[in-house]
Amino acid sequence: MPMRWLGAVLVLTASAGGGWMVARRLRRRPQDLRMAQQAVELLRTEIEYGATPLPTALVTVGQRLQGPVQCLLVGAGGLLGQGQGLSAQEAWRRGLAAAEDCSAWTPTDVRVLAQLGEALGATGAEDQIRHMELCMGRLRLAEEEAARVAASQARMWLYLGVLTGLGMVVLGV
Amino acid sequence: MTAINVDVIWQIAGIGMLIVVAHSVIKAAGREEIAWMVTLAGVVVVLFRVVGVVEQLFAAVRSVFNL
Repeated sequence: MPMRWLGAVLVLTASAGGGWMVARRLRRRPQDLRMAQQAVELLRTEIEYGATPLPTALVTVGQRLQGPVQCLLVGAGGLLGQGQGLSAQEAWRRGLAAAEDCSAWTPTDVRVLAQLGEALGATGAEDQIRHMELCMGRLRLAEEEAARVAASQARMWLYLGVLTGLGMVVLGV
Repeated sequence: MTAINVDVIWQIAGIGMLIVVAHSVIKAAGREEIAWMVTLAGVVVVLFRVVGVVEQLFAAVRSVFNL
């Protein structure tokens, strides 16, 4: 009997934990997207007013921020600064792949950032700035949508996790 | 004749309560179609549970009337 109860507690904890993780991811997404917008905005300032070289600009902006964007910018800037002959696009792509794992971005969000990466360092400053403005607009829209989804669904996933666990316990005991 | 397992009744009551809460939570999140799907899944699970008991009932009736 005690083993049975232990199993029930484990099932309930695992299920509630799963629901909590989904809810946390949903709540983190608007935050991560806001950070990405800030990063692009700061990067634009560096390129437009500071005329800073791209590797330095990436690392400087990355160090001012936290979370996945820090991974992305510091990673890409570091790769570019090492002088391995990597193009800016390739460095951005690798930085993005590393940042994706620790972020709550969806594949659509990652695609928006990847598209920005294609323009970085490949064209003139004005063109890059236009790309950044476009990227910020898309990120803002995605953030609004993510905030709406988080407000309506995060609590649902939290409750559903616990309820599913309880259901399994009721059916199994 | 075997006695009917009363646990099934408690199980069904428990599932019913859980499904009611899940339905209202999902509906509040604006996913009414999924809420109904969950309710339907609950009904199916309960039906599977009940089938065994109904089978026992028929067996009992048959044995009582020697059918």
